[in-house]
Amino acid sequence: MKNYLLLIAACVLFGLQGCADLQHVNSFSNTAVKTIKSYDEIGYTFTKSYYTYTLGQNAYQLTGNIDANSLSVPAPIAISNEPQTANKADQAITFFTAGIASYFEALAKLSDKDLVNYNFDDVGKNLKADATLKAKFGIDDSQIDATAKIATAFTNMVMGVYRERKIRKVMIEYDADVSKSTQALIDILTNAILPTLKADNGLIEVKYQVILKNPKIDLSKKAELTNSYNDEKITLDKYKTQIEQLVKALTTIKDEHNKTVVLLKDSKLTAKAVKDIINQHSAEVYLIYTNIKALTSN
Amino acid sequence: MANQYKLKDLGDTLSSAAFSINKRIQDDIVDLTFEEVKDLSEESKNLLIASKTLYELTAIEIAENAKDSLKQLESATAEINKAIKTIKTVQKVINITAKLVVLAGTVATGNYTSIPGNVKDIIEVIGESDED
Repeated sequence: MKNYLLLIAACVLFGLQGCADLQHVNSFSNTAVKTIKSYDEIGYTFTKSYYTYTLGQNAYQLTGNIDANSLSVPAPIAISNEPQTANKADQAITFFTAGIASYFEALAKLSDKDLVNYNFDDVGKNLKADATLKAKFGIDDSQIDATAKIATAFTNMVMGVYRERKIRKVMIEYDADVSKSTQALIDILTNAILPTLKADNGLIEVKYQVILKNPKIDLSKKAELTNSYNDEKITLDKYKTQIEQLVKALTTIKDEHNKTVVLLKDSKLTAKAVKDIINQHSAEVYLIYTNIKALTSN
Repeated sequence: MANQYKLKDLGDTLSSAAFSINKRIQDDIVDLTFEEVKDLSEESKNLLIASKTLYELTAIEIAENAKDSLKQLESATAEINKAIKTIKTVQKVINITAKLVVLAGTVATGNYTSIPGNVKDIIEVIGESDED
């Protein structure tokens, strides 16, 4: 009997060790979800760019006679296939942010230590309340308590191992797809969103250089508009920094997933190396995420 | 894949041309007339707006090329969610066991009138939703 108890205790300890490592996957996945979703908090999209910077081009191009005080609002700019193309491009980003975030959300949930805490309290309670059954089994209350305790620990351990195996299997099997999907999002941000931001900087220059040269606008108004120019530039610079930080974070998330998988293929999830690498990257991604958040709240 | 780079390259070319025009305006703004600034700015604006559409098309093209991987990622998510459901079901089995203990006690004591009520309890536990 004593040997069995020792064996169970060893299994329980092994199981708890596994749970500790699930926590690292959980922590990293949670940070990854927050980081990916931070794109929505930044608030710069193709559609917003169209309405703010493309259509905003002629904001000061009033028509009519200023001297006679008979001004008209500017005619709206019409661009073919817009804003439909901008909307479609935004949808492309949403598909990827939502898809990748859902994957890490599920991973975070599966590795959450509080997902389920199995307990046999009701089983024990019902057994203890039934004198006939206790007599038939030849057990007393203290034995029932001990059994329920062991059953709880054992079930948690077995399911902990099940979770580890499932996480390992999914991470290994889908690593290439996590990598490709994340890279696609990085490519969209790098090759489409950042260049659009740069083009918007150019459009701001265009708008204000015409205002500055306009002889019909007086100097005090021009000085006032210079402040608006600076404000618009600062806003675009902030978006640029946030998007660049997000690209950096996504690259780290992709690399971390891949490096973990390489280790998982050769060893167990409980390996210290896995824990260390996840910790290191998790801290890195979290730092980048807090930077993005800090800029959003400014 | 080549398509997305062609779109992006073309967008970059238009954007560079626009920035060159802007630089020219800023360098010579004192010497240029208002009409000249307006005309050059109009050219720059049109180039920049066209480049933005090309960048949007680049985003759409990149997404199109990677859509199969995203589909696979949805399968991975479904697999993980299925595992989560299995884990929750284990607690359900434990709850049923607790009810079965009560039923076993009823049978052992020969208290047959309580059996239908106990069976009803078990059916209720089995019927409890195990959704997330």
